[in-house]
Amino acid sequence: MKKTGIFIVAIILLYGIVFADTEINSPDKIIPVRVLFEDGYRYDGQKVTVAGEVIGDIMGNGEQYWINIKDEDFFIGIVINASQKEIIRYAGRYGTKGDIVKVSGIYRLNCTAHFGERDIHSEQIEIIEGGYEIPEDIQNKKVIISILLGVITLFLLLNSQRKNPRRDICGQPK
Amino acid sequence: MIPYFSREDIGPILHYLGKVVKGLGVLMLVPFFIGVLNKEWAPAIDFLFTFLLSLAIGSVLLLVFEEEKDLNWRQGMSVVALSWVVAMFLGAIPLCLSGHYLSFLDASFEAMSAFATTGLTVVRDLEHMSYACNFWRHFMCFIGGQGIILVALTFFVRGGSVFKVYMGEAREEKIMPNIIQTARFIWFVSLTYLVIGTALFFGINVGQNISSGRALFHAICLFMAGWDTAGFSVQSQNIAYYHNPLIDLVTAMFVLLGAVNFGVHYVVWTGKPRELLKNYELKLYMTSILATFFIVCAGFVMYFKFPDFISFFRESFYQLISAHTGVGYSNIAVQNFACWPTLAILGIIIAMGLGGSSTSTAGGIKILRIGILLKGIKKELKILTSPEATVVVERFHHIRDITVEDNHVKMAAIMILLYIALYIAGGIIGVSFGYPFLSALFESVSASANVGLSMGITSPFMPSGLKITYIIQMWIGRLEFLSVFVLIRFLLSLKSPE
Repeated sequence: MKKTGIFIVAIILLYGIVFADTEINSPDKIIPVRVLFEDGYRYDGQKVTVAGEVIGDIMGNGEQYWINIKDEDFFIGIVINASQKEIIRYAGRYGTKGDIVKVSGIYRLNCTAHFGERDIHSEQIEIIEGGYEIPEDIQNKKVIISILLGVITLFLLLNSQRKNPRRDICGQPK
Repeated sequence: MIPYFSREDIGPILHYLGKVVKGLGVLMLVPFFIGVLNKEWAPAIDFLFTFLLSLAIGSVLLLVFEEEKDLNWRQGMSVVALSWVVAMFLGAIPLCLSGHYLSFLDASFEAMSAFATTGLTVVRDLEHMSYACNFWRHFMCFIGGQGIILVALTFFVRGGSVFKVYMGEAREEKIMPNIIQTARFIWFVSLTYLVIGTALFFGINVGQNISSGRALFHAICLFMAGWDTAGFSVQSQNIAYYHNPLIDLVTAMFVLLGAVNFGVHYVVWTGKPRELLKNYELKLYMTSILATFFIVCAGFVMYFKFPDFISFFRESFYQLISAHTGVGYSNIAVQNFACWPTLAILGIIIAMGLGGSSTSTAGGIKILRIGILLKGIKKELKILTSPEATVVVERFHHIRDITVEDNHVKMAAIMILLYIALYIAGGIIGVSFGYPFLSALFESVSASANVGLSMGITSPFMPSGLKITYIIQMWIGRLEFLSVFVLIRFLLSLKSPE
């Protein structure tokens, strides 16, 4: 009975370990970009899937383009081709939330094709959440305070100018 | 010995401070108009508010302390040190209002980092920052690199003996006989390179399919932060954002130019390119770059994990140039440093600590001081090993032939010791906050030498005490102690006047 119990526990543990490992190494499971930095050597040269907001610009020409994605506070460059580039609608910047994309591809710690860049060569890219324009939030109180401050400043400036006339290069009042 | 201050000094100091504040206020109009042009109304209002506030504060100071007197040396030094603190607070206002900083302390940290051309950053979500605000971060670098007082006073206020403050901003040499001509020359060189640099970066960016408007914005910001060895970037990834070796190359070229003495620029510009081969500081600088790169390489010998030499060279040499020139640009992620061997990191720390040339936009100890100390040691050794009656003379060529005197060596040694003390003090404070010594020392040297590279300590979430420590280090490091010491003396004498 005791032996059977130990055997069952061992099987469960073994399954757990194998299952957990399979989960981490599964190329379809989204890995946080943070993990690619913390455990970069483990994933070097492997197919990974990451997700994040496309930010900034789509750079490049011809058949190869670069995008940067942001996941939490971690960033990674993704190499995409011309047809994949067409999928992206929004890149994050002021007033714009970029598309959240899911990218599967080969991760390289130091990509020899790109002078040692840490990158992912995309094989598949899809938008999992579309980007959008963010309307500006103009606070009325800031406008009112600025107008009031403008009036006060004008009064102070005129007084200051009267008491401190502009001087020429020799320091003499004009 | 710094003479005691009296209450009569307060008037002239605060009068000129008022002028500087007004000058800084006017500079806020540049990001204001950028905001208006890009229809970024919220940041434009923030800059308008800060512009008006600066003018109001400046006017009040000029009204209360209306008498305009010529500044004496100690007053000039105090104006410089005080202006940098006030500039930090004013520069922080629009940053804080942008919502990209956790607190006003964080915004102040960013402003001091920019003005002091350090480049350490605690910004959050930089990717969604407005053009106006992002431009202001880089513009502060340019203003600080040229010298806040120099910018505020040469262009916006006239008269008097304001140029006595020139040396307070760590500019040791008069390149030309007249200090106004010197200031104009520095502006001429900087603006010429601004045009060339912006054009180059713009061309590269457009070649990468970046829209022309954004390409121009990136180009101007890249140049301003590079030339003034600040190292801020438009995006959080810094230079790594571009994934372009050409950007690495051109930024390295401009930061090297920025870290060269303006005096050497002048001599070369006036048709004497042989100075490049003869200049002692420049030769020592190149030797120092090679020596520190050797240390970095030695560090990697046992831990070489790069697939090829190009990858290694691009990562290691770029970080080294960035450290030695004090720019702080990085083409790798902060986390990459965690994979660097200790000896290689030590090489980077030494490079950061040594810094660039004197009278350049670089920070740190400065190579000329090291050179003078080495010459002094050589002279003393020669004296010790020569017959008693021998007269030992050591010379070096730096724009002109200079004979090494004891006073030069003493001053160089004092400055080197002060910097080392500042580096270690910051490191110890970092350790006391619970960080490992190597990272704490790295960050401390980076802040004090106004470099901006980070091993990850600098973040919005680091302790406030450490943020204040680094602000003070950046301030002292940029002004090279003297004007800060004079200001401290001034403040102490206010408390207990003689």
